[in-house]
Amino acid sequence: MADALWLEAEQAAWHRVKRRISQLRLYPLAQEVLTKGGQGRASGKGGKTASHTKHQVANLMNLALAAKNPQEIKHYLDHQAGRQDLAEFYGPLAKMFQEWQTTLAPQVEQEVLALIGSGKSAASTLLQLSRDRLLLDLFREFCQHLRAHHDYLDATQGGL
Amino acid sequence: MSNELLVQAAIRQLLRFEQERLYPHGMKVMPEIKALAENAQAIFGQEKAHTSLQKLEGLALRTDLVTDILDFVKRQTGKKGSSERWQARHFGRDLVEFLEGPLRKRADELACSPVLARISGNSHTPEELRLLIWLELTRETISHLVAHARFAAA
Repeated sequence: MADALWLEAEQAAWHRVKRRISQLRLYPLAQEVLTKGGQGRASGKGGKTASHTKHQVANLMNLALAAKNPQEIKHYLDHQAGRQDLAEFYGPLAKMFQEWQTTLAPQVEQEVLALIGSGKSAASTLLQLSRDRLLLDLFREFCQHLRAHHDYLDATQGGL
Repeated sequence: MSNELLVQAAIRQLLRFEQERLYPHGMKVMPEIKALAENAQAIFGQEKAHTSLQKLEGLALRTDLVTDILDFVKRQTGKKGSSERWQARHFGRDLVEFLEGPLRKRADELACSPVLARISGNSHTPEELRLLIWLELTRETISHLVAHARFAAA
């Protein structure tokens, strides 16, 4: 197959796997993050206000759009998780992103390789599409789910 | 024939039977969808060409992920200002709850159908099948919802 066609097929495979992960893993994860936050506040552990959570969700969305590499995201999440007043919200996110780097990204790469087969395409995929790009895309998808679910909860349940 | 095509064919067959449930003989539309459509008509009836519903219908046809549709409805429901119409009569909330509740449950049931189990070498995981069927049911529902709302407005 011509090189351009291979590249096209590889990109389609990456796209397909990323979108599948977005639906299967990231969407429920975004709901879980906000639900757990809600429980914390209900039991009096959190002390966060609706506008406070809204602000953090907006921060995350901005980070997802602006970050140039996963290290920027990791640094920000770790830094925020280290702050006493924000640890409850950012702690699970920092842990989640760490897990993406160590477990999810390699797993996704394996799925892509399985989808497109081995040989030339596999080798060029690894060169053309880096793990950094994958993590940035996954984080952006996650933040979009997070923002949608947050806005929805805010409107239907009177704030988070 | 490839397994992918067989799975698609099996899902279409399941949905044909499911149509009967969504749109049973003697009824114009499934009661839950009818209630949603009537609310949609009351809320969006003044909108030129039902813009919001058109966007929803377009997205449902275009996307390959049910979560894109849910994100869209949630974002519309969460918007302030003129888009607060999605909050009127609990329309957005009821739609999300219907899609994530009874429809998702039905997709789970259909994904366990013997029709799909009989396809040898099916490469889809049960979770993938469930999501594919959930997407198709969601498309059907939105199509009925929009059609009924437009019909009611005519």
